[in-house]
Amino acid sequence: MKVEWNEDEVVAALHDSSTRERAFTRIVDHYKERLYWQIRRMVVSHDDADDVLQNVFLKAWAAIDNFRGEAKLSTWLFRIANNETLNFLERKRQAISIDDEGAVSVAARLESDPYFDGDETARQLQEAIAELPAKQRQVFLLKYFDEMKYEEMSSMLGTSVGALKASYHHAVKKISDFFTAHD
Amino acid sequence: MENEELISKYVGQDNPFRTPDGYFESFTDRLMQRIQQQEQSEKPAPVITLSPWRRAMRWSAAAVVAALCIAGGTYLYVGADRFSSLARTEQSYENLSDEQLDEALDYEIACGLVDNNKISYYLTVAE
Repeated sequence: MKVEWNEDEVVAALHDSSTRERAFTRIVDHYKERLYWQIRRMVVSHDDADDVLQNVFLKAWAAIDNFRGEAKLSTWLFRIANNETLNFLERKRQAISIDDEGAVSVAARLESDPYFDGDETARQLQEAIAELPAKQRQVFLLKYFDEMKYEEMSSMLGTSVGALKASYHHAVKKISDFFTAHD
Repeated sequence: MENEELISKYVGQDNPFRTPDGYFESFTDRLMQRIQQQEQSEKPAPVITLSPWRRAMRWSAAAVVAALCIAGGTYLYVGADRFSSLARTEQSYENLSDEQLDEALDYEIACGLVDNNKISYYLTVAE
């Protein structure tokens, strides 16, 4: 039988050493899919998304004493995931700039990716998204695919609604320009 | 929005990614095993008595860190001046280049909307 999710109850159990591990297991079960897809759209490869997602929960576990419930659990986890994803992309960008052989286009990599079912146009979209600056890419993905409201994004990312709207407009224009140019 | 409709026309909103079979079903067990292994391999930290020389070195390091914090604070203060001329409206952001917009987002994260959660998060989690 599936236990009903009650965040206050889970957070209280998290701060009791006898119930902590069980509470954390429930948190992982509750948030893993949502966080996975947010990470996966940013890093593209499944293996990379799996690594980043595990690190997100490992860091959350290590920092659990500092979570006092002032923010929502989802906001706290999203911020850790956001930070881990951007750090991962930055490390990867630096590694690729050192090793030029790693600089294969996203569309070419997706062609042989067993966990990507999209067609040529979907691969082109990923290519266009990959060309955006990391933060703009993130805003585009959250708004376009997850249909997240700017206000929610603002509290999760810690940036103003104005900056988010502008980032989204920049991103949409660049992606539509990309398609127009490749049409 | 015209551009958004163009993207939607080309690719829609379907998710072209998928995961290996059973990935989500096995994820929690794999993660919790990893956490348990990590906890078991952690040993209590030994108590180290510092010699006067090492104590002096530690104070010197603290002084360097404090100096860097002051320098960082000054940088952010100067940064605040650079952005204070921008009224935070959508229009003002629209006129920024990609680089300026990214810088503005970094600026907001660094000193615009920092709350206690973020401070404790960055102190404990951020690399």
